[in-house]
Amino acid sequence: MPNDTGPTPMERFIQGILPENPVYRQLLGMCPVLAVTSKVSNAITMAAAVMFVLVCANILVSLIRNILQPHLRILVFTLTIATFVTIADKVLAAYLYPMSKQLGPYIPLIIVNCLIICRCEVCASKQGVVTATFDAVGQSLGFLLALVSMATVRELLAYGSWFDIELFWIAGTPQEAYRWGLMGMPPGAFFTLGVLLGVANWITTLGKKKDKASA
Amino acid sequence: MDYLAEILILAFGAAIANNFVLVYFVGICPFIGVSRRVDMAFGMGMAVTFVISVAAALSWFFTYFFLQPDAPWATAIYNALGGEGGSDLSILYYIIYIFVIAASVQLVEMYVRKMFPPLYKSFGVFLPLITTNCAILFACLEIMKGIHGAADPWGLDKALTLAIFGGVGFTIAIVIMAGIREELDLCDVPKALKGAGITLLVAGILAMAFMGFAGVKKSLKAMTESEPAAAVKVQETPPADKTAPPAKPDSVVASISKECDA
Amino acid sequence: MLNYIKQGSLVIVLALLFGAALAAVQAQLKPLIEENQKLETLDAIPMLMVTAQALPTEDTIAKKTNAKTMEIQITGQSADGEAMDFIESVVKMDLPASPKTKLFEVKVREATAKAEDAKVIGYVIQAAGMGFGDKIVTLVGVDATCQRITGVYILDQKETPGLGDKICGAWAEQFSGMVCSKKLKVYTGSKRSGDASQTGAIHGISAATISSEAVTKIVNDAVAEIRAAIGPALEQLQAARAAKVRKDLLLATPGATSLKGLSSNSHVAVDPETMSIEVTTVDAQGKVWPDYTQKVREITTPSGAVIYEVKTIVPAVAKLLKMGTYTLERLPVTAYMIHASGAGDNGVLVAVESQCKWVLGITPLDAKTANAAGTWVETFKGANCKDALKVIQPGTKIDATSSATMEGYVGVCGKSDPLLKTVTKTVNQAVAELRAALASIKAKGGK
Repeated sequence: MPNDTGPTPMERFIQGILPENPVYRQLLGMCPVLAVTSKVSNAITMAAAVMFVLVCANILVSLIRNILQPHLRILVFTLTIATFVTIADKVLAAYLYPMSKQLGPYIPLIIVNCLIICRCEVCASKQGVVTATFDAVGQSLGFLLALVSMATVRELLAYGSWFDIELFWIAGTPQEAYRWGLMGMPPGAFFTLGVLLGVANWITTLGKKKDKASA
Repeated sequence: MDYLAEILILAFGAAIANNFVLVYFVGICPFIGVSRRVDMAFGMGMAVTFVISVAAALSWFFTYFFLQPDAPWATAIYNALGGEGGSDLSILYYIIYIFVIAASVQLVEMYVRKMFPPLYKSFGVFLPLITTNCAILFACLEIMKGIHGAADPWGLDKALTLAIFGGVGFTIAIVIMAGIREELDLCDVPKALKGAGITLLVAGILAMAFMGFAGVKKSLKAMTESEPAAAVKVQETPPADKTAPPAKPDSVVASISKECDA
Repeated sequence: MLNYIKQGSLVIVLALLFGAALAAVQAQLKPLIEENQKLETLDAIPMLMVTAQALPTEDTIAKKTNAKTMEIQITGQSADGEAMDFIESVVKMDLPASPKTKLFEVKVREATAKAEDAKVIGYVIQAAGMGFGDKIVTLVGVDATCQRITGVYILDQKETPGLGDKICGAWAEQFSGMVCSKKLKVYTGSKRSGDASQTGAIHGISAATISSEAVTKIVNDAVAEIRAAIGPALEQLQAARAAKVRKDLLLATPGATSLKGLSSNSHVAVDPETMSIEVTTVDAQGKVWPDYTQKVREITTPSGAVIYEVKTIVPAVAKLLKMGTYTLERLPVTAYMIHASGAGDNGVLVAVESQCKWVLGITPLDAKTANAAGTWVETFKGANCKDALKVIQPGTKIDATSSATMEGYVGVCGKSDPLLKTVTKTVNQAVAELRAALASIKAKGGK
């Protein structure tokens, strides 16, 4: 029987946000990061859906971790995730219909988001409910951070707005004047993520250098 | 001709213009992870194409006959059990799809291992990875969109076209990417961008190139549609030609006969 | 076997649990999701029908949608400052040939009126087609007679941001008012001539011609589909309606074309086939005296308007005609009439004398409007139509040198009813149309 001998809940929580950021450090769940980050509002909705599924799946898997047959675990994970994604999808369609239409297939695609199955495998199937919950919340906050940072860059450049609020210095100018349409399209997503990944790596190496220098 | 145009546009859209990877961002994980060498990339692409076709056919079958609202077979079973009205199992779409995908991965793996051992050697290792490839679920979801509530629900032909050419599009994207990355190994890439960073930047440029294909579908359609129009024109012009030439020989004959008379 | 069940027990329990949860979610949320989908269509209806049913001004408009009954209540003020309060209701039409086609019938009624009194103002169809990048889903509205497009609304698109997605904005408004019989075509540049609504010319969006053409094609197909779906039924309805209107029109002709009007014991008999009217008087003893007959001729002017020429045959002339010493062609025209729509449900019959100098009379063609207007319509008799007619309020002093009717004033009425204004406006338009029609006939005859 696996025991609760991993990192503490707080460690899991902190790690999820930056040191083990799912997108920038672990390169997990890239599909929604690229697809739904043309606007901040889309990004936040997506992150909220992922958070719901991740927290629910982590708690459930953690609860049943002691009676889970190891060779059936992937099956159970998939079943759990698919159910919660269906629920999230329906709730979104019922209460946030325009958003659900915009996100389209990317909500059901959460099922195959590696982030969730990875957290179930790494944390929830080995540790207790509290740790699993903190881990899920931490990881989804990290995911939210990544999505919002991407979306901020892209929305500012592509639409000249942030969270659908038009920036004051371009309010009233013709639409083409300050807007870089490409950033709202697929290539913009690739460019932004590539550059942000580079920046994230650069900051990490800077930190390591400092550690070495101080040591 | 309309049917041909529809299928052609669907195929071209899935493979190139709306490339799964570069436009819809599905299957990004293998696109970045397994694109270091061309042969590996090709193997991955083939494996995805294989699985996607099987999964698409299966999910079309389930969606069309069981899951969609008022699906014929599900309704028949429901009514036989004493229920009234049409069935609606649309809530089970995602769960069924994910199991269909897992099952088809198993199926393809078993089949290929048994029937084509050399093929299995070349891309069998990728098969288990494919279950969590978004591209396959995405294809299933697109097929669902084509059936659910549509005035003219997709048949198996369209579903398979989308799936096979989606897989081909994935292969094209990942092989091109692998080719570029093989060259990139020799380049002096900034340290921070090494690996995923530069791959994404290159993918961005590739995506820009693929955007150029977006309008081609239109001319593709125009091409297939203009064929009958051209045929009509060909039919129209001969009579005009026929009326013109006879005049000439006659006059020639007349002039010749006149000369003869003279 | 037992081992399998033991091992799988957790999965089975979980599956049952999840199944129950999903069933609950489906039961709870399905109506809400369906309502959302309906609301999406419903919200677009008023804009789609804007040329068939005028909307209140933008700053006063208030909409209340009800997805259960598929109704939208619209309140506000019109541009003239009049209060508006009406309900547009939407009914999905069942097409046996293609049950999944989303075709809707749009009806409108006053907020206080009963649902049965709602009048069909148009049809809306949901149509989709391939755009530049992906599918474009639109709603296309046509008027009740399938003559003109009333509006186009883009429900869903994934066109290029900044270029192709302009189809969602003001661009789609140019479809409103286009004739349905003409295939719409996208033009780039400025090589167009004539009235765009007649020629079917659509301005392309620069740098997004393919998106513009895609929407135009969808609209063309949608209009064809609507016409195919409801065209035959509509034609029958129209024929029946036209026959009824023609009969009503003939019945109203004697009253409208004589300054005296008809006396209470006059009797009018009409023959829609030959377009002739017989007016008789029944005296106190019950004896029938022939008064006169009228012959109506329908004229389509070179400009496309339909007007009616009325000739009155008094008994003496009738004898001459019978003897053959006189022909109908030589008989002077008593009046010209036009059937003007705009006021009342069936419009108003407006008659002017042969030179179009003064109005001979008007008759609303539906009983409701006729009753509401009452004897007020009599004040139009003899009104000088050199200038536009105006409604004056009770107590207004009229210049002594001109009588009310000679200077283009229409009589006094106790209540200030918006109906009076609408009728007067309609008459003014009708007179203008008649004058133009007569001028065009004269121009043609002169040549």
